[in-house]
Amino acid sequence: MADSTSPFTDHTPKLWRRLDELNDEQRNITERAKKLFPQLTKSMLIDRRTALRLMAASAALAAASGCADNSSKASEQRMGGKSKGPVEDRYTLLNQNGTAFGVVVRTVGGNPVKIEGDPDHPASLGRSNVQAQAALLSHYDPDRIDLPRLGGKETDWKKCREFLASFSEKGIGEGLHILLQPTASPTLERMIREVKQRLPATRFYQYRPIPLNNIIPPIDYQSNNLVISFGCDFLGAGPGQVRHAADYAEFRRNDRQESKLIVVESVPTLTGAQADEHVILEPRQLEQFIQALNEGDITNIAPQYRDLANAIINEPRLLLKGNGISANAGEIAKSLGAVELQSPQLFDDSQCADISALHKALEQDEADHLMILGGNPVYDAPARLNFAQTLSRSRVASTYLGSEWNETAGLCSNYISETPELAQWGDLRSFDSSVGLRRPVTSGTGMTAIEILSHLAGIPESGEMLVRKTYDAPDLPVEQLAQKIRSSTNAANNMNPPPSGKVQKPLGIMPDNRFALVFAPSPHIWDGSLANNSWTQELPAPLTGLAWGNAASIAASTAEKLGLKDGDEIEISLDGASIKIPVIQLPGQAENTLGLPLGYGRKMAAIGSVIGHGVYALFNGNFVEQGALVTKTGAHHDLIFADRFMAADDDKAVRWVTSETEQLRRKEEAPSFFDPEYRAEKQWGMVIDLDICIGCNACTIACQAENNIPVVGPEETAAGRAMHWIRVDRYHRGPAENPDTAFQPVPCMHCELAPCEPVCPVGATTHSSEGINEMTYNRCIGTRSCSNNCPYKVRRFNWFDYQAPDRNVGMSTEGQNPRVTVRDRGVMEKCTFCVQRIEAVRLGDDKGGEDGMPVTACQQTCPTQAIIFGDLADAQSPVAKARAEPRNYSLLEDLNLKTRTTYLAKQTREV
Amino acid sequence: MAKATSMDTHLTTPEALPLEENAFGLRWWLAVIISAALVIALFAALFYTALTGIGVWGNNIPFVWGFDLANYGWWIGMANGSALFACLLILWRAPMRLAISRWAEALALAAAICAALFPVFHLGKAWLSYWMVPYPAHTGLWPQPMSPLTWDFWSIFAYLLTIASLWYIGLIPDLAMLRDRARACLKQRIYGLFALGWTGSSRQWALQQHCHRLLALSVIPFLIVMQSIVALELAVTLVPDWHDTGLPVRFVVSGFASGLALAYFFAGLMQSILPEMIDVDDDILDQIGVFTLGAVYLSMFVVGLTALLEWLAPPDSSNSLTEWTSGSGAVLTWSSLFLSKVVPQLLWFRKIRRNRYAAIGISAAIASGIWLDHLSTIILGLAHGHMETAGNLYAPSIIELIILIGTLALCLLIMLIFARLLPLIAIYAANEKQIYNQGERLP
Repeated sequence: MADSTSPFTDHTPKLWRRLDELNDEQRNITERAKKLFPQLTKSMLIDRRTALRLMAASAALAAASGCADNSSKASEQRMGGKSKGPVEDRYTLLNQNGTAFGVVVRTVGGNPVKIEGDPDHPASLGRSNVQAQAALLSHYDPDRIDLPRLGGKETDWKKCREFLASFSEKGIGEGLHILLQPTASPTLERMIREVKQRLPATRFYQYRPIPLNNIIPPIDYQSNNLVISFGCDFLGAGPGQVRHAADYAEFRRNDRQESKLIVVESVPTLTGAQADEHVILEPRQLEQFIQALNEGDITNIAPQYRDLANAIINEPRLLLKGNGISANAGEIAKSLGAVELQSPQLFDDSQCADISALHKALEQDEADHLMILGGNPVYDAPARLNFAQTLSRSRVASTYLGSEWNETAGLCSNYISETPELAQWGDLRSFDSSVGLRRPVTSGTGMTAIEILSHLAGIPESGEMLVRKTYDAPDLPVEQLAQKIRSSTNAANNMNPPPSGKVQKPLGIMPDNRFALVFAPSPHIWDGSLANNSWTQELPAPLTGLAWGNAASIAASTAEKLGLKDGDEIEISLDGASIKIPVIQLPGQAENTLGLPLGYGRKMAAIGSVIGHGVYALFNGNFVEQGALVTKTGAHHDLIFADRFMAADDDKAVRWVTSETEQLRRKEEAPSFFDPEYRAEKQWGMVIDLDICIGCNACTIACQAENNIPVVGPEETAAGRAMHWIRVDRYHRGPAENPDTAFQPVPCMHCELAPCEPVCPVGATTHSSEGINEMTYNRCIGTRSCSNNCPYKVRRFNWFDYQAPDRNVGMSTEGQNPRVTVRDRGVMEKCTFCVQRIEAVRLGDDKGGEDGMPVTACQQTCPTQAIIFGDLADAQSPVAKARAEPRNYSLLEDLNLKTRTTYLAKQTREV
Repeated sequence: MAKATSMDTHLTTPEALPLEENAFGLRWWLAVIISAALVIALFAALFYTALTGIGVWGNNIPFVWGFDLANYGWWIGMANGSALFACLLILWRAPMRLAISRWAEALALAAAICAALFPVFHLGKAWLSYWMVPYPAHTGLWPQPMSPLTWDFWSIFAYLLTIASLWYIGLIPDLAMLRDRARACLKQRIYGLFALGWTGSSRQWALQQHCHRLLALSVIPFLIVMQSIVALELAVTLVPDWHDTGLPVRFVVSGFASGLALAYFFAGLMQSILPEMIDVDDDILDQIGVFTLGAVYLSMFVVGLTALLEWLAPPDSSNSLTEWTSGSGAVLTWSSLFLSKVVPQLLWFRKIRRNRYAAIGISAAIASGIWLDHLSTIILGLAHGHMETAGNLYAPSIIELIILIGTLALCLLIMLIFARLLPLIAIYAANEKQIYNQGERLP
C-alpha cells in the first residue's frame, strides 16, 4: 500500500492517532503487550457485574422464555396496521444552557421518537448538536419522579399548589429566598417582577456554572477574512455550536485561500483543530503574547510565533475571546483595538443577586425558606461557597424544582418535579437574541419555574396562560402566537452592560512546579446536567476519545516530566481544595497546564453516578486558574475508550491537499470482473467533506437515536463492544506539541464489491439493486465472519440482548423509531444509509430534503453539512457533483472495493 | 515375539473382553467421573452461552473470533492427525496397527466431535445453525455457496460421516463376536443390531476388508481438504495477516503433528489408565514417537518456509513477520514455537521415546504449542487490520476456558466409554495374528 510510485502519494507526513505511535522505535515488548492486552494482565475472577449477569441469566433460564426471536418487536408494536397513532412533527424550543435551540420533534401516537433541528430557527438551521439529540433520551428518563414530595413524603399536585400559594398569603415574602437558574425567558423575567411586586421582601439569586451571558453571537464573516480566537471555542459544544459551525463552514467552503483562522489557546479544542494557525501557549505565556501584541513589540514572543504575531498586528481582523483564556488576558486583549464581538445580554440579571450573596444570607440565618428553581447548585456551585455544607447546616426549609432526583434534591426538604422539557410551555431567547415559543410536543406532569413563581405571586396560572399574558395574546391560536412571539422585539430591553471581567489574581511569576488549570464544560454531558443520559456518556469525547468518564488532559512532555502515563491518578490542589483525577495525554496541549472537563463525578445521577471525576471542587467560576500543585498519587484508573484503535495502516486515510488542482480522484478504473451497470434507477451514495467536519459527534448520536442503537454501558464499552454505527476517527499529523488534527466520520462504506457479503453462509448481508449493502437481521445467525472481512470495521454485533428490559440503559420502547427494527441478541448490525428514510420517501410518507431526496439522520444533523447523501445515478445531484470533485477519494482505495461512501480531502493553505 | 505372546493370552481369554467388570479398575472409574464432571461443565457453559449471548466470552470488535475458532481448528487438526495415522496403518497393514488403529480411529472421531461443537455454539444464534443445511425452506433460500463457512459445513459433515464409517466398518466383526459371547439377551440384541447380521463368511470378510481399506484411502484426501477449509475461513478474508495461500498448508501439517501427538499422548495415557485393556508396549511408543517427530519436522519446514517467504517478500505496511516475532503478540508466537518445535526434539532420544510419562509430557507440549499457533493466528491477525491496530485485545473469559477444558474432557470421556463398551483393539486381527504366530512357532 505504501508504493512510492503511486500518483496519489502526497507529501503529507505520516498520520498518527495516539501519542505512543510517535515514539514507536522504543518498542518495549512487555510494555506494549501490557498496553495491548490489558485484560490479560488482570486475573480472570468473576466480577460483580458478571455475577449479576450470571444471576440474571439463571433467572432468564428459569423463566424459560426460550429462544424467541424478538427482532421484530419495534415494528410489531407500533407499525404495520397496529400503529399506536399518527406520526406528527411538532415544533418547540429546547433549553440549551438557558438559551433557545429550535427543534422539530417527530411524535408517533404522541410519543417523541426523534428530534431534528428547526430549519427556521437561528440557532439550529435545521441541524442539531449532541445535546439536542440527547434530549430525546432524557425525555424517557426512567428515574424521573412524577409526583411532588413535601417534607420527604410523596403528595399530590393539589397539596403542592396549596403549599406554594401559602407564601403569597402570609406577609411580604420576608425570609423567602429564591435561587434561579438563569434562563433567557421574557416570561421568567416578568414573573420575577410579579413576585417582587407581590412579595417585595423576597430575594432572588441566580447561578449557572457555564454563564449564560457570555456566549458569542453569530459571527459575520463578510468583512473579516482573518479571525482570531483567544480561547474562544465557538465550534465546541454549546447552544451556539450549530450556527457557528454552519457559518464557519460557509466561510471556509467559499474561500480557503483567502480566509484564515488563528486560534490561540492552552488546551486544544474543536475550534483549535480547525485553525490554520494554532498557537499553543500556557495561560501566563498567552497573557504575555497578548500583551506583546498590544504593545506591538514582538521581541518577547517565542520565535515560531513571531511571523504570526506580525500578521495579527498588521491585518484587519475579527477578535473572539472565550473562556479558554484568563480574565486578565481578556482584559488586555480588549485594547488590541480589533473588531470585537460583544456577547448579548440574554437574561436580565439585574433583579437577581449572585449565589455568593445567598451563601452569606444562609450563613447569617436570614432565610426561612429557600426555593431552588432548577439547576444543581449542591453539585456545581463555586467551590469556595461549599454550598452543600452551608445548605445542610442551616435550618432553612428548602424546596427544589428539578427534572431529576439529584444532589440538590437530596438536601432539600421538598421536591417539585419539573415538567418534562418536551412538555413545557414557555418562551426563550436564542443566542442571537430572537425570541421563540416553547410549547409542549407531548404530555407530561410537573411544574415549571414560571408556574411556581405565579403561585408565589398569588396569580396561579398555567404555563400557557403565563406565556400568553407576556405577549398579551390570551386566545390567539398557537401558530399565530408563535408568529407573534417570533416577531416581538422583547429581546434586549432592560439589559445591563456586560459585567466586566472578574478580578483575578495577577499572573506574575509562577513557580515552575505550579500548574495552570483550564476548565471547560464536557463536550457531551455539558455542566453535568446530562450525566444521567447514557447516549452522551457513551459517546467518545472528540479529542480524547474517552467515554463513560473524564480525565485531566496534559501535555505529553509534562506527563513525562511527572512520570505519568494515561490513566495515572494525580492530586491537584488549589487554594486548600484538592481533587484526584486520572490524566490523559493530549497532543497539542500547552505544557504545565491541565485541561479539566466539568460535569463528571456526580453522586446522585442515576446511571451517571460515580462516573468520571468531579472537578467542581476546584472551580470558582473562573475557567482559567493559576498556581495549582500537582502530585502523582500512584493510583491508576482504566480509562474507557469507545474504540481504542491505534495506528492506521492506511497513511492516506485522511488526506490534505493544498489546492483544488490536485487530482486525488482516480481517473481510470482498475480492471475488474465487476459489471458496473446500475440495476436500478436510484443509486445511493454518500460523500463526507473532511474539510468542514469539525468532529462534534452529532452524527453519531443522531444515528443512535434514529436507528434504535442500544447503549451498552461502561463495562461493555471498555470491552470494545460499543454499538455506534458511525464513528468519528481522529487523526493527527506533525509534531505532538502542535499537530494538525483531522476528524473522519466512518459509517459503512456500502462497497459495491462488499467483502462482507460473500463470506456470510446464510446470505444475511446482501446488496440491494440500489447499491445499499443490506443486513437482513432475521436471517443472521451470528457467525461474525462479515465483521472479520470488513476492512473498515464498521459492523457491530449484539453480544448480549442489549435491548432487554433488565439490561437496557438506553431508549425505552416508546421512544424507539418505529420504522427501524430492534435487533436482538446474536445478530450483526451496521449503517443502512437510513434505508427506512429512503423507503419512507419512496412511499410518500416523508418529504425528504429540499430536493425531495431522502436525507440520512447523520446528514440532517451535521452542523456543517459535511455529509452529502443522494442519488449517484443523477449527475446533477449534490452527491454526484461532490463525488466528481478532484478532492474525492475512497478510504483504503487500494482494496478496490468500490465504496459508495467517499471522502473529500482536507484543504490547507498554500505555503 | 515374547511380547506378542503376552498380548495373545490377554485376548484369547474371554474374561479380558470389554464389558467384563473386573477389567475396569478404580483408575478407570476415577477418570470417568472427573471427565464426566468436566463434560457437564462444558455443556453448562455452552448452553449458558447460547442462552445469554456470545458476550459472556471475551470477544469484541474487531476480535469477533478467539478461542472458538482456535479450538475448532486445533481439534480438527488433532482429528486429522489421528485419522491419518490410523489410515496409514490400515493401508500399510503395519504390524502395530493391531494395537493402535482401532483406538486411533476412535480418537479421530472423538476429536472431530469436539471440533464440531464449535461451529455450532460459536454462533450468535446457535439454535439456527441448521440454516447452514441446504434444506427446502419455505423462504426458498439456500446456503450461500461463496462462503467458506458453507464449505466448512460440508466438509465437517462429510468428514464426520467418513471417519465414523471407517471406525464402524472396522468394528463390525468384533461386534459380531461380542454378540456371540454376550450372555444377557439385551446385550445380545444390541450388539446384534450393530453387527448387521455378520456371520463371518468368507465373502463378508472379503467385503469388509475391502470396504475398510477403501474408506481408509478415501479419508486421506479428506484430511487435507478439511483442514484447508478451516484455514480458508481465514485465508479468503481481507485481514492482511490471514490473506495467505500458505495458510492451509501450514494448518494441515501442524494438524498432523498435533494429531500424532494426540495419539502418542493417548498411547501413554492408556498404558497408564488401562494397562490391561490395551497393549501399547514400549516398542509401539517408540514408533509413534518417531512418527510424531517426523510430523514435527514437516511442520517446521513449512513454518520456516513461510517465514522465509515473508522475509524475502517486498516490505508492505502489514509487516506481519515483524509483528509476529517482535510485536505485541510475540509471546504467543515464541511459546508456540518452543512447545511445538523445540520440546519435541527430545524425541530424538530412544529412551525418552519409550517412556510413557515422557510421551504424555512431550505430546502435551506439542499439542498446546499447536493450539497457541491457532490462537495467535486468530488473534494477531485480527489485531492488525487495514484501518487500525486494535488496542483492547481479546482475552478469554472463564466460560471459554471451561469450554476448552471441557472439550478435552469430552474427548477423554468418549475414549473411556468406548473402551468400556467396545474392543479397543481389533480382536479379529489379533486372532489372525495369533494364528499366524502359532503357525510360525511350529517347528
